[in-house]
Amino acid sequence: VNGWTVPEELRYDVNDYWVRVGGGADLADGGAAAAGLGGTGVLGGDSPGEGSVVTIGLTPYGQDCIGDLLYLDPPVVGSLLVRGAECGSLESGKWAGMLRAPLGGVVHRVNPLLAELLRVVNDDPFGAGWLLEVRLGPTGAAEFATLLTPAEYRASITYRECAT
Amino acid sequence: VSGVEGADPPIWRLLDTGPVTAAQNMALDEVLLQARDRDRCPTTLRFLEFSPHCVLVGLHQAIGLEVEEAYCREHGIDVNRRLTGGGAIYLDEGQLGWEVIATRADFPGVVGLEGMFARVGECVVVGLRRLGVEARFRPKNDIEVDGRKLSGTGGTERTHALVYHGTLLTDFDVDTMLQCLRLPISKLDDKQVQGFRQRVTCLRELLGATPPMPVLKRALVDGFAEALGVELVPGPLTTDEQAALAERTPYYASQGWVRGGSHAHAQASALGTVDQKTPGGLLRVAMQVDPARDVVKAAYISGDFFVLPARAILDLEAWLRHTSSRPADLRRRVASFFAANDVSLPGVTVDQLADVVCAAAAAAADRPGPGADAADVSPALPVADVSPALPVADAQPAADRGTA
Repeated sequence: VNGWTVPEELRYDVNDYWVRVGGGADLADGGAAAAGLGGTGVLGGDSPGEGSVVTIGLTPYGQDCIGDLLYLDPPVVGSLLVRGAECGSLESGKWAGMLRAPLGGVVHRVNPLLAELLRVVNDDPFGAGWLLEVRLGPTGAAEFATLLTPAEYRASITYRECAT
Repeated sequence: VSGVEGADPPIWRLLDTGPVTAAQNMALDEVLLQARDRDRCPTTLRFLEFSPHCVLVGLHQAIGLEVEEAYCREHGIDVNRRLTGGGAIYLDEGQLGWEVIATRADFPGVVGLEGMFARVGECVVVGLRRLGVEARFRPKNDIEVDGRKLSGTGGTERTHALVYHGTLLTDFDVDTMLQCLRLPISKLDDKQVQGFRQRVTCLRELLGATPPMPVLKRALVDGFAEALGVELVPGPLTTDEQAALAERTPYYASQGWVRGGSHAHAQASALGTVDQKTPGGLLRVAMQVDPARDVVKAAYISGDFFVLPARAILDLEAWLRHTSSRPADLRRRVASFFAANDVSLPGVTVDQLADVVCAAAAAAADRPGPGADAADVSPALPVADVSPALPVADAQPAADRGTA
């Protein structure tokens, strides 16, 4: 969609987060997890169950809408996430916005790179720039099934680009 | 909202508390956001006035790096922290703040943050036009006149509600501002202060006198009503809002909030200045950069080169602000600006300008922070007077909105 990357193996939400089953990529692992080849969880877009770990990040389109990130305060490990509710904050330009959880669950891990190299979110949004790993709760599995498919997310981008 | 033939316009509350302290104003922001978030108050246009005068830092700023606290104490200037992002500002008692507390549903047809910024910005522009001021909204956050900033804006959100606000510069006390804020551009001589002034303007300068506050408020109210098709009805705080305000004000007056706690980040920001002689004249670029985040905090471009339209340089400075400070990104950003705008820069190529911008950013990144110290002000001072070599009356506006 107008040059925006929308990987097929991921799921999305309307607030421009991507969700992948499995753990987040680290710079040291050469992006294996980012390619869906990590050792944890289920590959690709298969539906996860309660207790599965999913990784969440911001899509390039979403980042373009927000602008370059200046600050990001992610939730702490162990935080309970409720779908659609605030789970952290970010600042870009003069907008202080919310991180909104795309799924319910418990924060399993926060990308350690965010504290020292926030630009990685912009640089490598589907790889080393992931935000959170979340262990799905009882509602998380069902919520995962309602996330947008790549085709639906592309349609969402098209709608918004046409509207602006 | 508008355009529905015969439909009653939506009614918004017009809230005008008159001058209150910074802590009360910040507390009221939270109270109104919470109330709107829970659908316990109407969509509201609020005016903000501050007494005593104050410095407000952005949500994530560290006060020690941004504010001359001793000066503020000596001069009775409150120091507080906004709920929104951005940089530190000084507000004297003559400034007028405005803000909208709403939900996204209050802006039907508006998509995305930038769309909403532009929509609300347009309301202020329409209001200013009623005063005879031909202002424009400049993405992402400025309202400007001939490229010179008249109102900065910013915002934040809760689950359903958002606040978007700005401050109209009615007058501009640059001397006090330079005393109470720790700006890398402090320690300037008169000529350089004048150069800084040229990047901002105020209603007194534009209109010859500061409009009386009731006139200014009326114009803004009419601007919102016209641009959004809403009816603004003056109304007080609800009983619940009053109680919440009384409860929350002590927190917003506390050192816990003002100092920022976990919100405050040390934003090391140094300033780098580079001069470059070109066939078109001297090109001087000063960049203020946060090297830990690779972000441009401010750009100042000056010299004795010739540019048409003159405002293009101010627009380019705004275009670079809050974007990546890395060389490849800066080059792309500079190139995209000139690709989207019809700008004449005789004797200076876009590549030369990009080179100097990158060199200044690199110089800033190499300097130790914090940038507020006098030592960070380069001997080649950053804010030189732009005007002498620039056409004063320029009838050729940049294409489109002046920015890409």
